[in-house]
Amino acid sequence: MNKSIALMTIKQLWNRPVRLVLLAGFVGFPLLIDVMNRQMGFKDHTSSAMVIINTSMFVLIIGAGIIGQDISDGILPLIFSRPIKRWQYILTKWLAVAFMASIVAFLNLFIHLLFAHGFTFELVKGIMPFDLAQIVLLAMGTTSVMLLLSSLLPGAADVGVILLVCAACFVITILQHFFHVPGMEDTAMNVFAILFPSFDLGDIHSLRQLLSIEIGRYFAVVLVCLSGSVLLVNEKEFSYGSN
Amino acid sequence: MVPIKLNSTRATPLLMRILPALGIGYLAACFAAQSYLSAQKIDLVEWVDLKKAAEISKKLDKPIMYDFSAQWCGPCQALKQEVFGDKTLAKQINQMFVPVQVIDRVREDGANLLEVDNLQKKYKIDSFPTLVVMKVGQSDIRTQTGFKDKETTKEFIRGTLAWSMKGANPYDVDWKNLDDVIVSSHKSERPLLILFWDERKEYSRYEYLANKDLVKVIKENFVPVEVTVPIKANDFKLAESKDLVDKLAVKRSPALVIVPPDGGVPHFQIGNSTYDDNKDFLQKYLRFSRK
Repeated sequence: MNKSIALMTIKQLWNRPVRLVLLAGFVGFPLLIDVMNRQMGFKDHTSSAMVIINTSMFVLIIGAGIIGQDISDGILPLIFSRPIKRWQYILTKWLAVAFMASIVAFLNLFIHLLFAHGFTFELVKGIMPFDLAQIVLLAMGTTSVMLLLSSLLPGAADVGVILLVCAACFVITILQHFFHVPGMEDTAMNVFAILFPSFDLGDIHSLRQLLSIEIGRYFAVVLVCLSGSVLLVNEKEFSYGSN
Repeated sequence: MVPIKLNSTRATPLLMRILPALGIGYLAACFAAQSYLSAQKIDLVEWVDLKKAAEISKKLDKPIMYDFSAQWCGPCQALKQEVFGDKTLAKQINQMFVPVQVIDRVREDGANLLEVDNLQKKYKIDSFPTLVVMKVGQSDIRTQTGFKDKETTKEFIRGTLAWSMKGANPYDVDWKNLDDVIVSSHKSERPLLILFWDERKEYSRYEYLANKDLVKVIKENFVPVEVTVPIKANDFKLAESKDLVDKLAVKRSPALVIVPPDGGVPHFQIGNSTYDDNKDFLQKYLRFSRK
């Protein structure tokens, strides 16, 4: 892990106010729903599971153009003019974005529980170690997919591709509802599982369950994405002479 | 292609090159293991340690299911393969009971552990396999001695669930035929609650509906109707029934559809939702309709 690149990645977030506004929006929206529910006399709160799923959105916002933006801004040739290994740059970016997204997701969960329960024992009970680990897993998984897409595409086009695939999945689901094609029921779910890799830690009760397809898919996607992005960045020419 | 030197900025550690292959290999192993497990039908029940069972039972408010068996016992192996290896039944057992395996070791070791002996005496076990379902703090128990076939055991499990759940039994709801309900529709001002259910799917009705409040809400506020999936299997006699089901156009099961009595817009809950989600769905509809 390269400390300078990690710090640079964190600073990049603060230097882009649009991202901060979007983050605030995604933290604030579930709270707004909860406030409205309260005012309408409902006792329901947005579930913690829903709050955790928001982690993917935080990764999309924080990690948009994780490599592509550095290329478009001309930062990468500067970085690689120093003796920094490309795989170190990629792993550092991966960890830094996943770390930031996890921190925002933790805060989001905390604020959500605080709103739901106030400063009571329920608040402490609500913060399950599993939930925290689940957030980190999801953040690391989604960041790795973004890394691969970002090493292929310029600027923040990685987010565009992800949103496009999500929209396609939505259309497939709707079409599937009207024109039912046998065997295609879970297509959208499988695509989502690859775009936002994660697995339910609560499902692991024995060693045998470590051989579940969800866990295998998570590690396969994450490792292939990380290695693929190193391979792709290694193939690119970033010296000033290349222009 | 120019070979990359070790100190080059493009050099990649060997581990980074091997790991993706390992990841894909692991995924392949997972697929192989899953297909092997489903082919072998090995025990899929998540057995709980005998010493912790009572505590877990109290905490989760679930009855304990003891499986008294022995390694040498043939019917015990058949029970394991046929029942505990069945995905649906195993899931049902895992969800609704605290399953505990009590294995007799007299033939192998000459004696049993004290707690195994005590349990065998307490429930007067004289043959294997024997299934005993009990609730902590209650003397009433349900027992199945021996293993006849899968269907009998399935019925035993279903009956035991009904006994242990009391008001939360989804089979307590009198799901009616759509034709019958449409004929008598002028008598009721309650909304219809149509359950689209496919018995062939591995999803359990207990996961979907076994909640005391949910069963109560259905009984008190709705006219419950069950439509079998595939729809063709229902053989509706009335054109209104066919029209209604066609209009709802539910393509996935399980599904719950609320059809308001005043001809308002139907409300849908489609897919493998849990009983908590279904309860929320019905309660939200009732709150809104009252407003």
